Amino acid sequence: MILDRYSPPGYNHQREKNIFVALLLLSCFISLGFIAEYVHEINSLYYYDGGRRLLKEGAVVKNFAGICRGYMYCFSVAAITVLCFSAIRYMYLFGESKSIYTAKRLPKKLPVFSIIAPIPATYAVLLIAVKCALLCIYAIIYVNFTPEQCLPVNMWQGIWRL
Amino acid sequence: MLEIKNLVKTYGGKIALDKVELSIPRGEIVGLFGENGAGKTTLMKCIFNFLHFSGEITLDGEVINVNNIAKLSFATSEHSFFPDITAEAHRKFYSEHFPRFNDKRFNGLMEFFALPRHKILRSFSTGQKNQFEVILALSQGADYILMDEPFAGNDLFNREDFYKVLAGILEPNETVILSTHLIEEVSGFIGRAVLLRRGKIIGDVTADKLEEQGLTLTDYIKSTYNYRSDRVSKALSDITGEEDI
Repeated sequence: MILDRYSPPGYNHQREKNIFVALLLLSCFISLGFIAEYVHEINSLYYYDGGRRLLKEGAVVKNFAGICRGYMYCFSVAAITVLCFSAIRYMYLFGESKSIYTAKRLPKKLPVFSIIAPIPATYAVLLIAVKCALLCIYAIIYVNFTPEQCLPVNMWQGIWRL
Repeated sequence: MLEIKNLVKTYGGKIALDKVELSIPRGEIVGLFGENGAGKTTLMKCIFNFLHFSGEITLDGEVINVNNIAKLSFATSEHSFFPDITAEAHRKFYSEHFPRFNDKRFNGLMEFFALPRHKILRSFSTGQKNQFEVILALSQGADYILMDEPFAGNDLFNREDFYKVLAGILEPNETVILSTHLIEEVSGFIGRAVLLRRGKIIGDVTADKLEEQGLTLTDYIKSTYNYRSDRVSKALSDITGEEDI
């Protein structure tokens, strides 16, 4: 199994994987705040006159980054959290027994690195990849469901900060 | 041949190993002796490149690296096994990573020490952990087996039986470097004694030479260390104020 191959022998990588999955799901759930915020923005474009829903003159929604606000930061926080698994894996080799002495004697290149870094790095990359995918989906929603005249001129400003 | 040339290791400003020069040919069983802090463990860790040092350490003419490190094995009182897997899992791990792993020797020693195969190492007693540590070092298939105080916590009978088994199973080209305080116990087992004091080698003698001179290993170590035979009586006299104790 890949997790066994790239983890220190005996290390509880299943628990680590469970934490990663929990962080991923939590981040996805928090990011749904964009939807709620977006719906609120769309609703604020209209007013009701005699039961009719009418677009306000000159109304413009916030730019994309303004609607996302902090809802996407959770992915970055989660990515940093899973990168800390590398430190935990390294410290495991210094725990009850100094298994770092065995890890450093293995006659294969980069054996210590291979059981410490790749899995946490993969988890971090997956979190960022899901973040980017969700940003794309939310951007598509933003562009396609907002009346064209209500899109701000600076609609993509600040997106790099997400 | 394990060759150590001009080895210097410092911790901050403190010199732990001071221009150590040592050559150990294949097939020798070497006892490494010295007081606590003499540099025995530091020397072994430098051989494995666990510590930064200056000087040169070569194994059969080559610098120690990933290509030849499997020729060295290590048993340490700090233990180097993975505590959350079983002895059997260790056997599989070592078989996978060390091509010359000796299954027969591993199985034989596990039976000799009566160690459980399917319990995780964390649940072993201290003595069992020491025994398993030594089993791994001896079964790895290494040419040079370094053991750093491997018997701490083991009872006398286990140790004595173990020396006999060890003497019986070692191949002629296998080298053992054994660091221990149990001088008299190993004196009949080792072929050479190297003495370290404050980071320097102060003595290096073969068992044959000692026999020629009619000295025991303890006599040699005491004379080399300038051991004062009256130190105990003097200390007691100072502490109790009584004379001629």
